[in-house]
Amino acid sequence: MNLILDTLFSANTVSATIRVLTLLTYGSMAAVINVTSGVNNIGLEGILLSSALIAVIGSWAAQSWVVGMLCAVVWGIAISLIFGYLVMELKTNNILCGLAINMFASGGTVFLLSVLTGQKGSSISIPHQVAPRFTIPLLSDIPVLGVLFTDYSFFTYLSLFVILFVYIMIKKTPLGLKIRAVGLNPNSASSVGIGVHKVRYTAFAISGAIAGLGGAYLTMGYFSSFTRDMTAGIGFMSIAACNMGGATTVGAFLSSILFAFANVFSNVMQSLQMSVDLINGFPYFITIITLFVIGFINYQRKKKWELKK
Amino acid sequence: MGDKLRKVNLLVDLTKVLLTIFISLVCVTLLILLVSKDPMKAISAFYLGPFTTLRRFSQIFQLATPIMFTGLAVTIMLKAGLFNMGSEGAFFFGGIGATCIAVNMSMAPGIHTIAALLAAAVFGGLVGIIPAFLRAKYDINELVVSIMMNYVMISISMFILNYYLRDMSVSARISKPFPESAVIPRIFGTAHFGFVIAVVVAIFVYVFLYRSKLGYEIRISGSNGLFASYSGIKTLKVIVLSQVIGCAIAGLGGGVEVLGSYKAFSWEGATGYGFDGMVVAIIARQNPLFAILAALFMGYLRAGADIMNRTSDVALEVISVVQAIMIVLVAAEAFLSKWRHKLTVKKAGITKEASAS
Repeated sequence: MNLILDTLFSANTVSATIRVLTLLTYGSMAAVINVTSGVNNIGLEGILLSSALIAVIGSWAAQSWVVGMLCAVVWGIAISLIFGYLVMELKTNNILCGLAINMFASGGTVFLLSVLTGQKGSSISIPHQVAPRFTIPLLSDIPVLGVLFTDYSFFTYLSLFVILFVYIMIKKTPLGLKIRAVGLNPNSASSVGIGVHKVRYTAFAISGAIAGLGGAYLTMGYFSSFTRDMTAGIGFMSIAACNMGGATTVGAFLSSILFAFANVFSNVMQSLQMSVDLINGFPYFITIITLFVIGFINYQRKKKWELKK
Repeated sequence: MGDKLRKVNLLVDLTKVLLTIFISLVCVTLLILLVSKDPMKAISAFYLGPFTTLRRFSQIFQLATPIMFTGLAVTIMLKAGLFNMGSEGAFFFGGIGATCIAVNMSMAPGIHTIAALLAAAVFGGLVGIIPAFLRAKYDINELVVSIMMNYVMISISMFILNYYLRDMSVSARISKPFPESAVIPRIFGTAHFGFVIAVVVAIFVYVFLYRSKLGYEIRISGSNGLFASYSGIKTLKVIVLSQVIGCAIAGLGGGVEVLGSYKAFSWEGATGYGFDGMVVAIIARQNPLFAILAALFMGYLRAGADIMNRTSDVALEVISVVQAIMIVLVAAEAFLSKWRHKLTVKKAGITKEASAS
């Protein structure tokens, strides 16, 4: 038991949690913007997966991680806008459309990989540049908290700015106000002269860009190559984190911390020789439990409110 | 009037599906032309390959069987108004359920198979309870919960496989081989009697949805939940039952697939059949009888892609592109909606003239 506790609160665990958290942050921030604009995009998983491969290809072709990152961002925006077109102009159900994106990404990445490398499993044969790691000079010397500032990918630091950006954009800018208005009630928003489609396209583009960054982090920071279906439900987990946090920036970030810890907890358990099979399912199980707890609390609150009425 | 409208809708829907299939096949052909060094060979393998030998032809039926089950499962669940992707986990868990009975018990041939398939359906049905209950009672997004459930169910299945069913004499993680008494017999080539079971289930689902009380309640709850609860339908019960029945069918499919196509349980991760079931249900416009045709069509595409994968330089994953395009276009309400509108107006105009004279 002591061994478990020691491993759980070690510096390694903290840094592993932060690495998973980075990924979940990008995902859940993208989800927050989508949900705020009123259209949930289940295709987030697929956007993460496909932009991860695009980042590898861009970075390999130009031998520059910045190019890879930009390619992933552009790709994320493009897919997100296509999603917007399908949902708004062709009136496709948004969930089916999201599932189609996931299907397209899951098979399409393997297809593209086999065309480029002749292999279906991974991108090891096309070596690419990964994002640099930084240690913040003075802060990393603090005794206990130093680990929070030591040796993280560029993307981890960037994710902090993304949170700040999403928070300010939604809460403080005219665009954010419009996105919220469109999300609450598109008809009344359009009656006061807000172009619903235009606002949603903008929101999708921003969300797609953030998801693209998340995908880029997946192959240029979290891992250093692409493997098939490497997202393994992280996009869905981001959406769950967003749901759990009530689609607010802060709430989604806090839920992401919980899920990141659950993920790392399962890795720690694995290293302690417990049944790998059951532990693999642990983070997903925690997600269901927390969704249940939040839903239960909301239900009770609603019931109380109805009684008062 | 109603009859004529139905005819218009059927005509437009059918045209839409056929046009969609055409567009997606054009896309895939262009993709093959783009990437292949010998495109003619790849294209002919893809389109004509399944008809070249009897064994390859039988593969169409073999590959159509699992997605017909999951397609029917998704159809029932969609009819209740839920986007439950639990069919993936139920399919997997059902496979484990069938393996448990097949490997650990000995019974007379035939009875053994039936017992194993019943276990598969029960195991599958269990998977449907949680997402349905959480959705119906606490309004929690069933899609996210069911997808998370899939991962949990797969990890539980692998645990059961590893500790109770595993064949220790080989290094791979597979179960002990199925005894002869539990295996589903072949019809011809690789096609097995599971296909017949799937067709029977499709007819059962049709009768259930359109001719039974519970089926009616499911459809009403799905199309208008408030109306259903005001008219005295216990929506909570109906929704949970619909998801359990749907997942039980998916689980049965898992059992049929394992006992029909494999010598031992050897899946290592998600099979993807749950998501393919969504494609089948959508192309079939959520009609259980059309699901038979849709599954056969998807089986044909998969058989062709498989042959192309083996005989040329194009990967079989290319069909996921076809699937994505098909889902999006068939589900696109605005696609061909002007034509539908025009036809409806025209039909209405004719009836007005008829009533005037």
